[in-house]
Amino acid sequence: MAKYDPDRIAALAAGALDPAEAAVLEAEIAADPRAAADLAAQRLALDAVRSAPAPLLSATERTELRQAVAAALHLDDSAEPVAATALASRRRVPWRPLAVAAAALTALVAAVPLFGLLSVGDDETNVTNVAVSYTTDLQEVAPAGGDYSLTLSGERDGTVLETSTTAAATTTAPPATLQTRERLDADKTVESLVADPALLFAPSADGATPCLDEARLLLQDADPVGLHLTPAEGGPDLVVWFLSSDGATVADLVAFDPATCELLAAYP
Amino acid sequence: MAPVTPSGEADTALIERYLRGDVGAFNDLMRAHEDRVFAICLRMLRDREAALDATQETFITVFRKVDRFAGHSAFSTWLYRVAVNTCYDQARRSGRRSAEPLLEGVDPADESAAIALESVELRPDLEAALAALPAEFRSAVVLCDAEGLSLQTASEILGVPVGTVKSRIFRGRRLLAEALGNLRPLSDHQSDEQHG
Repeated sequence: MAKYDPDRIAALAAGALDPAEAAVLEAEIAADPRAAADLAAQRLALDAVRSAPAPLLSATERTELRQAVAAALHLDDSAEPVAATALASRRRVPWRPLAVAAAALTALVAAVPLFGLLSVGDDETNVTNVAVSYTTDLQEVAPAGGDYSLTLSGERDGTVLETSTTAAATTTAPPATLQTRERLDADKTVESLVADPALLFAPSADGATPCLDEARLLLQDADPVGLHLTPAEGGPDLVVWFLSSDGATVADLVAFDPATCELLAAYP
Repeated sequence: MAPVTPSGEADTALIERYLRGDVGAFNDLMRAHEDRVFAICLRMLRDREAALDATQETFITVFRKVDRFAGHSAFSTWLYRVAVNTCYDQARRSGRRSAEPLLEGVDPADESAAIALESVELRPDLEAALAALPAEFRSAVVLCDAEGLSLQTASEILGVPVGTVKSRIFRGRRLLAEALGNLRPLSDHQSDEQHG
């Protein structure tokens, strides 16, 4: 048990005690090497922190910040071109996975006839004798521009068959990774939340719940309810936005990666 | 609860103007708080770009929910609470980058390390010492010692009792001093949390 209350030592170092009390305590502490060392440490740290210059925004950062916030809030239409640039570098929008999914679908539609996967008749006999392997190669061909190509290739009787397609994503966001593990975890979490939505309807502290724009778009509702589930709460780091018509059950729900606002799961 | 100060009253008036559609009030609110929010975020995250992201996200979150601001405490207290929570979220998302000391194991000649240090605008030794603090100690030290907020306000921002804030500040300063090379290591019994 420390002889001196650490709070009083901290307050003395910060100059938060009245002068008379401070003088008495300082004199007492001077006779106790351990307490004196504590006091010296408190003062040293406090002086170091207080003497550090306050970080400031540069003029450019300040302008970009205000424009980006204003654009996100739709406050100033005239600021949109500049703000859009600033936003694109920081805010992630979900168009990327949608564009990638569209590219994948297009490629599959194009590739299926090529491989004869749906064909019958003569081709079937060939297929029984060959090993067919497929690789889907999702490539980002223009990282800055957001265009994607998807290549579906296969091999039959030693002949390499390949088809590819491209799709343009409507974002300049940085590259994203399709993380299957995260999606599986998200699916499980969403499934359990829908089955037992008590957590969704519990009051939560105010804080940042990102991806609202994306949720509004997907849920087609201006005011969904959001919740940021963190790993500390026993699941993946996940943001969910949902709608409920009766305040007890979930009608629609979308779950995002809070870092990228990439859609990870949805209900129904 | 932190009293609503004259500047708090000014904030409330600006919020009312903003909610009536006055874009000028938005600019005034940004001007009043953007540097401090950025400073908190930079000291919490230690990375300029990450701090800019967190600052932007904080303001967007707050302005979107400002119609729900009841005025029971200062607007700035609410704003800083959102900022701190955003920083916690961002640090978690970035793989607990902020929990790792910047200077440990880096080559002094490493250009990227030098750029990282420049970006935080603090003394390198202080930066490294702050970086070594657990996040909850760092937030208490940043809010009270660096930003000069009261214990009560920090308590409301961090959502913990005042006694816990005091304890975190005391221990945070000790660790800072230790890291700055001017204090013997803590003994075990001293490092126990002393408040609830």
